[in-house]
Amino acid sequence: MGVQFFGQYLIECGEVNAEQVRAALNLMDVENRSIGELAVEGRLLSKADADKVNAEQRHRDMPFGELAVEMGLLDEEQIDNLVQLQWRTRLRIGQALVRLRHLDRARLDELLIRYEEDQEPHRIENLELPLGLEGNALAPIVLDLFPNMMMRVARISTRVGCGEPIFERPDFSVQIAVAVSGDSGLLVGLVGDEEFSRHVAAKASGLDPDRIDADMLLDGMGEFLNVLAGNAMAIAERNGIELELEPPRAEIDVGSGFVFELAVNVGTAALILKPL
Amino acid sequence: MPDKKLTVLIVDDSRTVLAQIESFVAANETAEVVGTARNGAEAVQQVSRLKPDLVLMDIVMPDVDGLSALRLIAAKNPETRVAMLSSVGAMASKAEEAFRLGAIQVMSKPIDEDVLGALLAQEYERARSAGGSRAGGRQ
Repeated sequence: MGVQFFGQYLIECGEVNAEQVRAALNLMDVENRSIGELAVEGRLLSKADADKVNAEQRHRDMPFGELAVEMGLLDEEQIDNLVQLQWRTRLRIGQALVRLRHLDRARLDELLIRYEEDQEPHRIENLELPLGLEGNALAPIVLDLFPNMMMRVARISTRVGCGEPIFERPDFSVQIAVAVSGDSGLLVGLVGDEEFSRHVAAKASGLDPDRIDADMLLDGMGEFLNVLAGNAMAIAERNGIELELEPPRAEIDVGSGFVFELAVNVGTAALILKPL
Repeated sequence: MPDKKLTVLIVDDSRTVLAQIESFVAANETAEVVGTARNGAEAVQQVSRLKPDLVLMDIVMPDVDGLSALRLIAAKNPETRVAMLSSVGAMASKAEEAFRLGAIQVMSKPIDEDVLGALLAQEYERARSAGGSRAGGRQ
């Protein structure tokens, strides 16, 4: 199986159904405390001040903690402690399913072990990144997942080379990118020659390569990037990084980006990463 | 051959994905694609018009995205069974929101054909045991 969250895994294994997952999520909503509620319970913040932050949140799309710090009501250390407390005490989906008797406790333990084994191929190894990409949490995940996803989607064997700063626009006939916005925003671009792009589009769509038109070449490459970025975001999210994916676009501004040469067994191609 | 096939609407902004899923469903003798849509707004209209047994819908789409469309479909056509099939389907935040809005399944891409096949079989059996396909007029 691919990258998954535990609830999906349980449904796909036939252990629970969507209704039961929904009931567990509702229980989690009731039991799990927000940062604001924890701050009030821990007497770090008065109820009135918490309400002020909540009211401000209606106008500004910012997390409670960041706003509370900006408003001088809490400091960063207090927010870090509250986030850790929230993480430690959070009722998780498996525990909620056990509480609702949709899953047996012993069975949950077995399934958690199987789930961890299933997700093991998606663990990220430490990669050396070029200066300028260091500190971007999404970039190493994208680089690590790339060969696996290229094989699964397009049956192309890939090795990812070292990243170099881009000095001039890569000279490839097909160029497309997806933008991931958020804490570790990243433009993920894929450029390739006709042979590479046609192969990716044909494999991704299941169509005969002769039926792939120019629009489909871009669409197929874009869909591959969607899959790559979406799976990388799912892994990043487990580390508390909030990200949003935008639809693919053909206009790529590669200035201040990095190009990674790809050793592929079909055509030629390169991956572009640019912090946003 | 079954009397009435499971009717499926596919919603995805990518022609690549529409082609892939159409071809997969076409090879399944208990299901048929009755329509496609390229964004959430089209999906809401198509659901009202076609009354499909099952909607397979992407999440990240231009204009009206899949989760907004799911909310609208659940309000206007609450009997419609919607499964999300998305590159961000593995994100807990997206999957949880989809389940809360009434999705019957959230699948991540790349598409796992075994999982999609099992879903089609499950929904076919469900429609059949419910007294025949609701929108099973097309054969």
